[in-house]
Order: sequence, then C-alpha cells, then structure tokens
Amino acid sequence: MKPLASAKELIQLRDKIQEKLAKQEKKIQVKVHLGTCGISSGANQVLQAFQEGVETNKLSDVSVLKAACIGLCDREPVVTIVHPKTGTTTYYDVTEDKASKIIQKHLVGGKVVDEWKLDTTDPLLKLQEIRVMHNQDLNPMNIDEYIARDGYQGLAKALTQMKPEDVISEITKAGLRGRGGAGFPTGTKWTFVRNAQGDEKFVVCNGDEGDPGAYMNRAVLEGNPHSIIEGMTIGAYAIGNVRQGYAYVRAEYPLAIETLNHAISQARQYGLLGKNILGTDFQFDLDIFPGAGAFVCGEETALLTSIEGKRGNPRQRPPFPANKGLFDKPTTLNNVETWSNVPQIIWKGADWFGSVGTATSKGTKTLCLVGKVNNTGLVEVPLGTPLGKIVFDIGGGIPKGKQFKAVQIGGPSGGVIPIEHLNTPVDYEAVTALGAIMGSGGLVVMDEDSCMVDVAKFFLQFTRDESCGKCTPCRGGIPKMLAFLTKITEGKATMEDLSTLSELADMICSASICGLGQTAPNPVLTTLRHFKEEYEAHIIDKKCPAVVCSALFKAPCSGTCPVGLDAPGYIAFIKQGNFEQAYRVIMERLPLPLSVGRVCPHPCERKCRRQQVEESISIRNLHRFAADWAMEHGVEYKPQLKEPKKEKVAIIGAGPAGLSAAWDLAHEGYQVTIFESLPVAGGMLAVGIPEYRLPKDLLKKEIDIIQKLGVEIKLNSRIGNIDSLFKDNKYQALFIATGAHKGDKMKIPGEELAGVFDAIEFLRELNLNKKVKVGQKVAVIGGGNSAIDAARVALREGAKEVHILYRREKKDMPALQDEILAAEEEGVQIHCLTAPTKILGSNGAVTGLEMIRMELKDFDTSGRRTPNPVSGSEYTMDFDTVIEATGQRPDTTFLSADISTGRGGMIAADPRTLVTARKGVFAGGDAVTGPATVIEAIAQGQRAASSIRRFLSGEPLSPLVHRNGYKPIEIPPIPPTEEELKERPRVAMKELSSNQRKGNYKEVALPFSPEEAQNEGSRCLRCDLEVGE
Amino acid sequence: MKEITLTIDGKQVKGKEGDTVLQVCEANNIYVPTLCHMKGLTDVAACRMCIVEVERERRPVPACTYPARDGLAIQTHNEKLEKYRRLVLELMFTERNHLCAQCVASGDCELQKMGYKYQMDSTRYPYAWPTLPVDSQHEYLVIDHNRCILCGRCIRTCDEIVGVHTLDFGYRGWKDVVVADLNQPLGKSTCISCGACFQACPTGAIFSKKSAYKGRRPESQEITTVCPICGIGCAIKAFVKNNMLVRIDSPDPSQHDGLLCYMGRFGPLAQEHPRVKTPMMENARGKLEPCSLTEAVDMVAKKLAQVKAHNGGDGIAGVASGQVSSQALKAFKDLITGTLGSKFLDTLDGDEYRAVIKGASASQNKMNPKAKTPLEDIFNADCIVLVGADPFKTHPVAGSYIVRAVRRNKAALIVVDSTQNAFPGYAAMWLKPKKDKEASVLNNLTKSLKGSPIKDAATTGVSQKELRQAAEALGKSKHPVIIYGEAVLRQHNAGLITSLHNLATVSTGGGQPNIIALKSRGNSRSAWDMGLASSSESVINSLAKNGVKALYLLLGDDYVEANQLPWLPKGIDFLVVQSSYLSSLAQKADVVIPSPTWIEVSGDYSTLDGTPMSVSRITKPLDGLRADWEVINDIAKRFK
Repeated sequence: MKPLASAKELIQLRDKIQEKLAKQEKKIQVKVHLGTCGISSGANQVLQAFQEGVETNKLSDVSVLKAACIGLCDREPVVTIVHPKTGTTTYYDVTEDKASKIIQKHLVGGKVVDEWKLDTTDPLLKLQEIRVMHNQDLNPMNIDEYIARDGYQGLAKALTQMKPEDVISEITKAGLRGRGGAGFPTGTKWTFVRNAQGDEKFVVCNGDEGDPGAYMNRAVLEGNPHSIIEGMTIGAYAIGNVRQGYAYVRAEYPLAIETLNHAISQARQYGLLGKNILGTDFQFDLDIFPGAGAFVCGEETALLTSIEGKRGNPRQRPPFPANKGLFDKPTTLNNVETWSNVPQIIWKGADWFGSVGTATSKGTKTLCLVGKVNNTGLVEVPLGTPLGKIVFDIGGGIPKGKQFKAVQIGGPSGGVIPIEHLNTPVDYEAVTALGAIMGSGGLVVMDEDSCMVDVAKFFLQFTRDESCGKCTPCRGGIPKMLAFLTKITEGKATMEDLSTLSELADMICSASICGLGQTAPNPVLTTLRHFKEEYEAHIIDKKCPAVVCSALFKAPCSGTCPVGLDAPGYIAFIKQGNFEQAYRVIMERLPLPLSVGRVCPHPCERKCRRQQVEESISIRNLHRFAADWAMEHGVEYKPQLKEPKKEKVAIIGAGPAGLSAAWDLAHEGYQVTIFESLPVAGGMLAVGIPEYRLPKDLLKKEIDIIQKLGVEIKLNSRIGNIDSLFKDNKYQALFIATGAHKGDKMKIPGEELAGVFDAIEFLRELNLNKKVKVGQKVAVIGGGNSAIDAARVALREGAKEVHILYRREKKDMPALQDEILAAEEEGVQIHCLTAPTKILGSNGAVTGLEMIRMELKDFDTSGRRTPNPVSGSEYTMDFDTVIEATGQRPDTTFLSADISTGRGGMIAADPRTLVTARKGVFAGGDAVTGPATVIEAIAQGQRAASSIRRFLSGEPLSPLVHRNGYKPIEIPPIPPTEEELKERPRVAMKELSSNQRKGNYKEVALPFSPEEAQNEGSRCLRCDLEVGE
Repeated sequence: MKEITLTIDGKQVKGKEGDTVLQVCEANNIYVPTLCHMKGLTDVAACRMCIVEVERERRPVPACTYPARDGLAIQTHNEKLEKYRRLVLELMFTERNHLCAQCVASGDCELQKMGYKYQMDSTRYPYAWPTLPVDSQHEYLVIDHNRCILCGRCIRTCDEIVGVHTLDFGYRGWKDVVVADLNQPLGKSTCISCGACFQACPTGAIFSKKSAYKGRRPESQEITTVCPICGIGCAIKAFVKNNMLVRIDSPDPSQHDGLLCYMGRFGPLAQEHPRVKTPMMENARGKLEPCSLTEAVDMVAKKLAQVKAHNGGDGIAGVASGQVSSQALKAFKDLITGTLGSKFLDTLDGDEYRAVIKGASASQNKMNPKAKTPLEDIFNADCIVLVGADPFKTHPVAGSYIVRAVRRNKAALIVVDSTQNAFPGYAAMWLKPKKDKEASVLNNLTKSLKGSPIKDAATTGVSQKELRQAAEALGKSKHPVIIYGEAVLRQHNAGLITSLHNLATVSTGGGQPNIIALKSRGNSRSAWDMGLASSSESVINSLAKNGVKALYLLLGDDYVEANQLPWLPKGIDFLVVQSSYLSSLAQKADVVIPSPTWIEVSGDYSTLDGTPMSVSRITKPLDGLRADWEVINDIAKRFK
C-alpha cells in the first residue's frame, strides 16, 4: 500500500480493485459472516468447514471469504453464497454438518438447499432499507473492498471540491440528526464547534454502546469501520483546526476494537489518515480509547472526562463540549451511526439521504430487535416506520402466539410504548411524544408475560448500579424509587406511595446533572402513564396480572387463576393417587368443578412454567379428572358451614356468578335465594354451552350440591323490578348477576328475515330442547366461542354445510384454539377477511349473503390490525340460515333508576367491590364485565359474596376478596424428581373421532384414566414450593 | 472586568462578566443554599441544592456553575425549587446514617443546619441504613462514611488546595464512598495529615480525634493568628472554649496561603509530650523536685554568678532553639553576652547557619544569604529545582505550593536527590546523584545551563542527557526557584550550598536569585539575623575544649531529647534547661524552668524568608507560667 497522493489516485485505485473483484464475482463466493454474534454461534468452525470442504473437493472456482454481521443475530452462523448461476443465497443456522451438505449440493451440485435458505420475500428483509449496514457483506479487514464500493470518495469530494462550510451545509441540508439518542441536528452541532474559539479542536466518536439489548453500533464498528473513519475525517475537515480524533469504544467489544484498529492502520497506509491526506494540506489522525465498562461514559461529558484519564463522571453543562470539551477544547462528539452516515451524504448528496424518512427525521435508523419477538437481531428501517410494522412484519410477531404488550425503546433511559400505539411512526418526535426516547435504537419487545412494574424495576436496578454517584438526585433518588417499586411488587405499597414516587421521579428528571439521571425515571414514568392499572393491581388488589412478582402468588398457574385455584395442590394429590383429596382442594376454591373442568379457557396453562421444558401441564383436564372421579365414586362434599345468620340475600341469576356467590354466602351462614328467569339453573353453562362440551346432567348434579347447602333457587322467576325485593325488608342485600344474554345485531339489511338468528338465542333455544329449524347451508358470522359453538351445533342439527365468516385472520379469532380445530375437524369451513354487508332473501326467508373482502390496515388499540373493506370486492354466497355471533349484551330493563348502566349497556358497579350506586345492591358477572369466562364469573360471585358479608356485618368494603369457612388442606411439599423433570410431552386427552361425533351431542372430550392423570400430574414442577427469589 | 446586569427574583442586580450566578447572588446578598460549593474549590454542581430557574432553560440549573450573562432573568426561590431542594435534602438524610444526637458535628454541621432550614421533621423516603465502616486508624482523623453526603469537598480540597490527591471517590453510584488512595485506611495512605479535609467537611463525616466533643465552633471564641512552627507562617483561626483549645482552622482555605499542616492544625491540640508544669531543682539526692519560680531563678543566678566569678563569663555558654520567640531570643542574647559577658552564644542549628553563610559567600556573586526570596515565589514559579528536601514531611505547606506551581503553572519540577523523589507523579525529572555527588551534579547543571562542556557526568550518576533536559527546562524558565532542605542543611556542607547559589544565579541569568532554604526551626531566621549563631564554631560541640562549666539551654516549646546532644555531661557543672516539655534532656538539668508553648503566650517570630509575624496568645498558659523572656530578664535582674 502506498499513500494516495490525490483524489484521482483514489479513483484509479477504486477502478483497479473493482476490476479485480469483477473477476472474482465470476467465481463462486462463500461469505461467512463473522460478527461477534456469528463467532459465538460457531461461525469460525463453519468457516473452517467451508475452507476444508473447498480444498478437499478441489473447488478451484470457489473462494471462501469473511464478512461481517448482517443483523440476523438469532440465526447465526449465517453464510451467503454468491453464485454466477443461482444468484445470492443466504443460509442460516449453519453448522459444520450443514456446511458439508451445502458444499455438496450447492457448490458442487449447483442446487440451492431450499430448506436452510433465507426466504428473500420475508418482510424481515423486504421492508428494510439498508444504508448504514450496506457494507456488512464485505470483509471489514480489507480496506480495498470498502474502496471498491466508493469508500473514501466522500472524503475525496469534500477535500477537493468542497469548502468546509459547504460540507456542513450539505449535512444540515440532509437533516442528519444524532443517532445516539437525543436527535440533535448534526449540522448545527458542527457549526457550533466550527464557530467556537480555539486553534485546537477534537472530533470524538461515541462507541460506548451500553444499553441492555442494544448492539447496532457494535455491528457497524465490526462491519463497516471505514465509514466511521471516513465520516470523522470529513467532520474534522468541516469543523477546522482538528488534527486528532478519538473513537471511544467500550472494552467489552474486543472484536470492534480490533477491527477498527486494523482499519485505522490501513487508512494510514493509504494516507487517508495522517498528514497531507490525498495530497492536500489537510491532516487528521484517529486513535481508539477503550472504555472501562461504565454505562455513564456513554454520556458525552463523562466520556470526554474519561478520555482525559479521569474518573468518568459527567460535568455540568454549560460549558458545552462544543466550546469546552475534551481537554477544555471545542469538541464534536457524535455517535458511531451518525459518523457512519456522513460519507454517503457527502458522496451521494443530501437529497439522496432525505429520500427516506419523515420530514423532520430523515434517513434510516438501525434498531436492535430483542425480547419476545420472533426475529431478534439487527434491522435498518427508514425513520418513521410504524412500530407495529417493525414488530409484526419485520420482527415476525410474538413467539408462541403470546399477546404483544409493549416495547421498551431507548434502553434504560427510554420508556415503554404500549399496544395502543403500534401505529406510532418510529421517529424522534413521535417517540418523544409518548414519553420514551429514540435512544440508540434498542427495541425490547415485551409480551403478556412481562409485568410492567417489574420491567421498570429492572431498568432502575440498572441505572442505580450505573449511576456515577456524583449528583444527589440520581445517586440518592434512584435507590429510593427502586425501594418503592420493590414495595409495590411485594404488595406492600399504598396509593400514596405512588404519588411520592412520581414526585421523586419528577425531581430526578429535573435536577440531575446529566442525561443518565434526567432520564432514569423514564421507565417508571412511562409505565405509570400507560400501565397505571397494573400498578394499581399490585397495590390495591395485591396481584401481579402478569404473574411475575413472586411475592404476590404461590405459583404462576394459581396466581393467574381468577379464583386462585390451587392447581399445584390438587395436582400433587392426583400424582399421589389421592384423588379424593384433589377434589377437596378444588372444592375449597369453587363450586361447579365438573363444569369448570370442562369449559374453562384455562388461563393457568398459558402461564405454566412447564412450557419452558416443553408444554404446559394439562391443568384443566386434571381438574376435570378429579371432579369426575369424585362424582363417579360418590365422594360427598362435606361443607363446614358457619352458624346460621338471620340476614337474607337475594341473587338474580343462577349463572356461575350467582351460584358461586350463593355458595360462599351459604358457607357464611346467610340465607340465600336465587331468582332465575329461565326454566333451568346454570346460566350460560346451561343454555350457552352445547351438550357435547358440557353434559347437562353433570351441571345439574353440581347445582344440586349447592342447593343442599340451603340455597333456594326459584326458576322461571323473572324479577321485573328490584324494588320488590327490598319491600318489607325481605332481603337485606342483593346481588345482580344476570349475565349478558342478548345477542348484538350487526345492523345490516335483512336481519329481520326468517332463518336469521343470533348465536345466543340459537344456542339457548336448542339447549332448552326447543325446536329450531336449521337449514342446509348455514353461515355463522363472528370469530368467538359462540360462533364456534353455533357452527358445531348447526352441523349436529343437520346442516349440510356450515361456514364461519370472520373479518380478520384466523390467528385473530378470540375463540379457543382447540375449539377452532375441533370445528374444522367436524367440517366447519372458516372464511377469513370477509364481512357481510347484506342478508339476501326472498319471500321473507334468507337466501344468501352479500359480503365484502377485508384487508388489514393499521393497528387498533388491542394490537390487532383493523379490517377495512376492499371497495369493489363484494361477492355473494347462498345460505338458508344465518347465525350472528358478533357480541352479547345484558338485559337491564329490570333495574331501578338509581342503578345506572355504563359502557356497552353494562351495569355500573365498582370493579373491585362490585358495589352499585344503590345501597345493599351489588352487581357482577357478565352483566357488569361484558361477556367473559365462567371462571371470571365465579370469581365475581366470590367477590360479591365477600363484599356482601362485609356490608352485612358492618365492615368497610375492601378490594381484597376474603372467603371464610374453608379450612385449607395441607399440600404435600414434595418437589419433582430428576426423572419427572425430564422432557416428555403432555398427555393428550382422547376425543371422539369426528365420525363418532356426527349428528349427536355425545361429550367429545374423553376423560383421563387414573394412570394418565397421575402421569400427567407428575409433570408438575411444583412452582408453589419455590422459596425466595 | 465588564459589569453586567441581571434580574434575580425580579430585582435588577449587578455582576461581573465571568461570574457564576452564585457569585452574583453572593455579591448581592441573595441567599442560595449550597452544600458541595466551597470557596476556593472548583464547583462541580453535585449536591443540587443551589438549583435556580433561568429563563429559557428547560430544567433548573445549578447556580454554582451557571455563567452569569448580561440580561439573564433568574428565580432563586419558588415553590418548585424549594420542593426539589427539600427532596434533595430528604435523599441526603435517608441515604446514610445521619444520627445527629450522637454526631461530633451536631450544632456545627451544614447538613443539619439545612435540615432545620427546610424543617425536615420527617422523611417520606425509606432510610437505606447502610452498614458502612468507620476508618479510625489515622493519628488525628476519623472518616465516618455513615455521615458522608458525598459532596466531594474533602476530595477537591485534598486535590486542588493541598495537592496530594489522597482522597477520591471509590466505587460507583449508590455505592460511592470517599476513599484514600486505592481504598487504603487513611492512616496507611499517602495522607499528609494536614486536616484540610476535616475543615472542608460540611458534616461530621471527617472529624478530628483531637477536637471531637470539645465544643462547637459557633459557641467558641475565635482567635486569628499565625502558626510559628516551621516558618512558613500560615494564618490560623483558633477556636477556644473556656480556655480550652477546641480546634484550629485555616481562616480562609480559598486564599493561596490558606493552608495548614498537621503541626499547625493538630500540634497544639495533640500534647504528645509531658509538660514541665513547675520549675524544678535537683535536690540533695540528685533528683529533680518542684520549687517556686523565685527559688529557681535565684538558684540559676546564684550558680551562674559562681561560675562567672571562678571562670569568668566564658565559663558560661548559652544555646537557644530557633523555635522560640524573638523576645525570648533577644532576652537570652542579652543575658548571655551582655549580663554574663560570655562569648559562647549559639543556636541548636548554628552549624547550618555557618554553612549557609560560608556557602553563599563563596558563590559567584557573593550572594547575600539574608536576601529575601518570598515563599510566594514558589507558586508563581514555572520551574523548580528541589534539592535534598521532602517538603511534605518537614514543611508540608511548601509541598502544596510546589504541587500548585506544577499543576497551575505547569512548572517543571526537577528533583535532585540521591535517595528519594519526594514528588513522584509531579516531578518532571529526578536527577539522582550518586552518594555525595549532589554538588557535582548541580555544578554540571550550572555548566550545562551556561553551555559549558561537561566531562565527568558519568561519575556523578546523572547523564549528559538528563542534564541537558534539566538545563533546557531551567533555561526556558522565567520564574525559576531553587529550594533546598533538611538533607542539605544537615550536612553543613558549604560547598554544596555554594553550588546551589551558583545554580540559582545562573538560572535567573544573573538577576536576583530565587533560593529558599527549608530551615528546620520556625524562628531560626530571626535567631540568625539577631546574631545568635554568629560564633565561628559550634559552641555546643566545643564546650569541653573551651572549658565551659555552666550551660543554659533555652528550648521553649522545641522538644529536644538528650540523645540529640550526646556530648552533654562532659565537664558541665551546671545545666539550666528552659523548656515546655519534660524531655530526657530536661531531666538531666540541675534547674528546669518551664516554658509556655507558643499558643500560651504572644510573641514575635519571622518566617523562613524573614517576614516578621506577630503571634497572639490563644489560651492562657498553665498555672503561673511566665513568658520565657520574662524569666530570662528576671535572671538578668539578679545581676544588677
């Protein structure tokens, strides 16, 4: 290498290298990506495998090359093969074994191994805009490859064709903003430093990337080091009086330091650093300063202090580094990515740079996608790309079908952006408006299993440990915030603590010396802003909704169960073969075990930690097994009733909420009467759930047990006006649990036609053994459990064809996954992305549906994409029966005027105490919450009973449910054995085949045998035995 | 400096360009609370008590660092700021274990005062109750981390004012603590025990064992005077309660001379040696026993008169310490040479004087050894040659001056010493001569500076190259200072002193040479100037030769042990020791006359450079003690 004496020589060199590379491109190139991520996944071994394979197979036309990380960090090792015939193919998760097959098939045989290659049509690749990372496929240790791609042409252009002022105005025109976090306009910053007094100035590159979950700068340092060198050299020229620059790179990035060092020495050899650069009289040199591992040194003044050789404490600004920076000289400090953008702006122009991005946030941004997202790794997108697009399209959504909850953007200084804001464009202004910051671009995706208080706690632990300790607010305040958060997660905090916490957070933000302290409370402030109800749940209800905060629950399954059913407890007895005790453990917590064991949507299983081994425990089926066994063996429930009390309680509605309230109140000794308008008790269990899911004789047996406690159930007793119940002090308290039994109409033409039903009505009539005329071709509209139930019932009632029409995608259907599968097995056809616009009919009867295709657009507040009609896509289908299953509402006509209704026509009651505006009247269940699950209804009944007991005994109401009269059974504290911890699949429930189900209402799911139950029970990890953290 | 006008709390006030907002506030009597700010130290804006609101600033800014600009509008007090300050205080009170009731600083604590001001009757934030150690191994100082608010004043004082940088922060964030060196116990660290950190500490985190629980500053009487011990002449502010010395501070650490060392700050409080409380006389059995002052004076006069009668005046010799006041020195000289008519008068360090005189007179321009080089020249120097001295041990404040010159003026410090480099890290060069080759090295350096050839560099232990570098630094210097100390003076080597003076002359290009000798006793300069050491040879070393029978030793508060004067018994019939301390030397005396210490009596002294200083009494002397000069004059009166 000889120093280049002019810009012309640089062009000549470039052309020469391009010529050389063009020859190489005619051959086959194998590029092994050797970033830190690749190397730690075994890329060096893969490289060796290719080198040896090529040698042993004597493949003279193949060259094996090294390249950098291209961002597919979770799929490393990654190998790209550029083949004159097959084009460019990227293989992921390459092992040495796979390498030898790729050599045989692809390199020798000329055939792409499709199963291991990356799908280039994947949105992950398609939606990215690769600019900063455009050289990651090159060998970073070879300056020639950089030069071949017009490397250093920007510098040459600046030095020979532009005045320093022109360079700055080009950067200003491009609208480049600092990529380190705050987004300060780079051109403005450079102007400040250029105008600052001083004959010695510095440029500094901030490569102290320390945010947890952020490593985009590392990739650029390792993969595109010359872009940083070139950018800094251009900056030095533009600013003037700069002869020395420093790249501050954290010592935890040894490969980045090695690569950049190598690049610097190569640049020096070509005379691109040093004196008389490209033959001009401009001189500049660059050195690396390795950081010593303090997060705070990413803060500019701390970083500069650190380079000065002092303890890396921040300094108060003003004076700003632009005037008094490194060694008190005017200094420009920019982030790795900012510098890396500079050469292309100068070479390709400001307009090219601004061709992507938004009006105020131009260009692209590299982001680190980490956390609960399918494609973790590095991506580069135009600024302004909607968050949802990044998470769901590029990121591929959330693993294991879990629900997206929020992203933490900007690391510990940033904040969370919740599900409601998935349409937010990721740019400086929009992100800041939501209380977060862009930061360096770390994007941590969180799903339903993240507790936001715990997340805030995590980040505060980080900032507490990384605070330099210089100023009181940050050093002293963050530990106090953490203490409050800990108190909250332990269920010991009060709402007053929350305001004390907010006040402290405000002071820390306002009064801290540097960005670390000023932003450290952000995770708390943003979670408080977007997830206040989660804080309240910890404080008021003493519950962690995500079942993360271990002080607040025994085990994740019982912690997430609305009634706190002790699954590990009954499973422990099942495992021992003591099925009777298992049954009794269940009965401690709820009546109706036969029904719940059959129809519960088992939220417990979603949280089961056995999933970390393979699959969750079959908790519901074990529950059913214990209940079935007790019933078959005539196990009697032996209540321990308290002494009878004189107060009488009325309950309207004999559904699960009413029955469970009655159950608890009867245990307390109160006299309870339930008024039920239908001829059967059980509510939706009786008239909503089809027989094949829940045999009605079982339900009846369970209700009999409740009646045996002395609960009176008056069937066919519709209450016209609740005042009648309080006449003559007949009842001292009332619980309204009337459910939501009215089907919503879609309000489209033709709903009055014969053959149009709502699903609730349809199922109710059939469950009450009334005749319903079901036609041959049935359409069911909706995606919930009622829709599935109605469809499967329609088949059983003789329909030839049943079609479910749903406006979103199948993955968005709220119905239980198992139910959807069962329906399809039975022959139900599901049509997605379609919505009816008109019910067609003739002679007053349904003949068909007019429908319109839907497409998914922006995200709604639930995080699902909103279906929008595609105009002109209307089409029709023939049907003789249409069942609408699009929503349910309560009937509230019987209410007195002093009890109001709220959103969606629901009865207004305090969600925690269920107290209504009328004294002595409580309301709960679906009538208050809207359509929910049986287990939630039972929980509401218990809540009502707890409040009614407090009300009648003159105690203040409390959000905490307290159930008297149940003596806890001691659970055998036997942890699982090593053998039991070994991976093995969950025991599947047997089912009737779809043929056996045809035309009848036989129960589809078959019970476990005792052996199966014990076997399944032995998979339980007994999380309830876990001690401490 | 240009005058600027600002609006503070709605009022127009004047300030100077370059001031901080806090400085403008202070100049205009506008109170802004501060804790980490201390006059004379770099402001670091750490505690955040002084935050103020400035127009157009998004956040409150610390007044201590915010530059005052013309036209700026500032709010120093409003509800929000007061709330933030209270919160900051709450954090400080709950971060460590601030238990005022058992704290040495209670009633004399800036944090406590602030707590009262903000009515901190309770805190809403949980106490952290950390378990932090107390470092009490140091001779004088205790660091109790439980009371530390991490303001960093001690650290900045140690670094910026004292210049030793023993203290700094260790660890990070909420685990921050003040550490000595790399987390050594303070007593085993590079600490020079100057105690400046103790004075800087706003709480009781750093306190003095010698002052603890003696009293509080606000309830004590303040006496501002000067410390006479080493001759630097540091101003002190003594706090006295009920005639008990409570503590000694520097009156203003922000001043360039606002330094103290362990001798000035802790010496008067330490009382390491047993005092002579009454006059004593040898009884018949040869044991010292207390007597009245009149009896003692009578006895001394009687015995001296006897010797004078038998042997003439020259049968008596008087030797004084350079530590005593000028009044005592004068009275002593009058007694010995006047009243008693002896020619044998000397000081304990008389040999040093004779070497200095001889050495200086032999130098190129016959330098006047009494010429005055002000000590202040050290911190104005841009090049310092330090020969045979360890200032941080003998004259610690001079050590701080040197460090300041190095750090503030980027002065080149050249250490010439065959055994040690007293300023590692600060010295630009350490020329290390072979044993007894110091003079050769200095001569070579002088030659090198003059551009003369050097032949014997190899034999001296300092190479040509090193000499050239040192000469270059000296040659460039506009304000060079040559300092020599104990190791040179102790040798009584006039030749070496000549070399030093020659170098000093050459280094200033023949101008007024800047040369400072760090003499071993504070008032030696006065003693020498008054002619107490004018004897041609050491009186003390030639007692027997000269047939001296009676010796009068005036020691004052200079603690001298018998083994420092091993020749003593020979031929002396009568020994008078006038001393504050009952040292082994005093115990050999026939008559012991008690001296008050310097804090017990006012007196005149001079500094190393000959500047006169008047030292005021701090506490009353022990019962019945009279000033040395009064007693000596009493003795003289017996002869009239």
